[in-house]
Amino acid sequence: MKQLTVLGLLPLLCLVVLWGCDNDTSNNVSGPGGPEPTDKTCLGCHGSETELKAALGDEKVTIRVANKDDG
Amino acid sequence: MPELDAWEKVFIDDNSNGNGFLNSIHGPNYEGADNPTPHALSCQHCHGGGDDNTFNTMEEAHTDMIRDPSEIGVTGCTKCHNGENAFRSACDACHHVETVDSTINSLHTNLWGEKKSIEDRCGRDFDSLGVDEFFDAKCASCHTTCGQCHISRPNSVGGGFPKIGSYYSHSFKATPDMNEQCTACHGSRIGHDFKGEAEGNVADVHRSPNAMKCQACHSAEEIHGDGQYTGDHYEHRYEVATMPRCENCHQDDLDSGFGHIHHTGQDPDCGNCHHNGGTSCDACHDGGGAFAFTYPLPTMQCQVCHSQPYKNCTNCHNLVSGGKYEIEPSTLQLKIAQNPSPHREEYDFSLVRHTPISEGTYDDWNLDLPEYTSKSTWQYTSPHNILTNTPQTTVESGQSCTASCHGSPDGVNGYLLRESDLYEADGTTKLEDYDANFPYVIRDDFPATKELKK
Repeated sequence: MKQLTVLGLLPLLCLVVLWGCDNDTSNNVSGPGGPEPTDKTCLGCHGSETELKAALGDEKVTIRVANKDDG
Repeated sequence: MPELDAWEKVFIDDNSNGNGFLNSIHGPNYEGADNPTPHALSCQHCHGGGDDNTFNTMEEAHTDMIRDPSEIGVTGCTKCHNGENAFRSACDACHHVETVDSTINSLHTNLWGEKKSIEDRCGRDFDSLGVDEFFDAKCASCHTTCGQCHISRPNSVGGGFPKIGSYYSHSFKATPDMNEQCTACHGSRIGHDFKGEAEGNVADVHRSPNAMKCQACHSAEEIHGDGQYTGDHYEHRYEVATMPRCENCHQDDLDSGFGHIHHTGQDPDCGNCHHNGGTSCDACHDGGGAFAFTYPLPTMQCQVCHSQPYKNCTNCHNLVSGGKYEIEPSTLQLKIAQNPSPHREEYDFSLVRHTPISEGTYDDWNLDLPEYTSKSTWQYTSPHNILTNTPQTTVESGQSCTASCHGSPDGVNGYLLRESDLYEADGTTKLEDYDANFPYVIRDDFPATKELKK
């Protein structure tokens, strides 16, 4: 009787364990379970004067040769 | 060179300006069929960092980013160009492998010349000095990589993309841009002279009106290292076999004209001008009744006559507090001396530029210079401000043709490097580098005795 009970419950347990498994068809670049893809790319910023200015501000970069009179 | 805004240094323009990086052979939009497919590269292929669409912040995007993939020892370009999957170096595609090998061992890349100067004054092999860390921190900012000449501005001016015309460009250029790349490093003397920016000077005749750029004289072979050294590598730029020579283009000029013949070691053949009825010149010019001839006369570097005044430092490389070096303003002078260069021994006389170095320059490296005086600080120089006619070649009507140089007064504005130039302004205190330079001064009684250091 016990054997029959175990054999009867086993398929049920398997169903419970595997419940929710499915092929991941999402376009998640980090793989299943990873972070969602973002909309950021290199050129999204480096190809945009506006984005770069927003990120880097109006900081001036001193070109050292201008100051090294004789170096 | 104008300052760049931070954003300008890293702006990848679209394709509308003719620089077209995005569609270029390394660009992400490349569609050409002349390379293995796919060859369209993302930024990350060369520069690493975060993959597109995986980052949100600038910091995340730049994690593990490679700023200069062409730097030796960095696996940016060599990730693909490793000799197995693709040609060994990113440069090999267009350039022979010999060029790449030479570059790796070149003066440009290794600063062998700087190291040799330190070796000479220390009297020891550079590798035994244990100063690599200091050298890298203070001197090596001038070494270069493929990318700093062919893609970006060099690090020594803060990097960033060159501005070609009105646009910034990440493009790969076989020939560097003179203003944005060559004179970005070689600007304070070479570029300054070549463009005639010194007060009272005009542009080099090769620049204006002839509009020549650096590569007109300086070959790719020379710049990348021609590999024709003896030993392990070149130790000075004046050693390089393919260094440009004036006579490469001007041999005909060199062989003609009184001045050229007299100053380049050629026999002037007196009879060409002086018809003496068959009497030997030496019959009278015996050193008694008249001065004796000692032909050939000493040889002179072309620039002695054809350069304009150039920058000479007065007190460079004095170590001041915090490990900083003090650089005082230069003076514009032209000085002729007995040639101090061991690499260009064909000239008895050459121009010299004062590049003083203090005996305590490397105190903060704990490095003494026991051989400090073994190397002159008035050094052989070849200013890039050439003119056909200069004050040295010009005299007032009725004056002797030797008046301008041979009659040049002593002092700061005189053409000849005299012993008096090796003293402080008080005229009695010897400068620190007196002993290093004394062998090369033109003696007070020259040219009467024609005494040479040799």
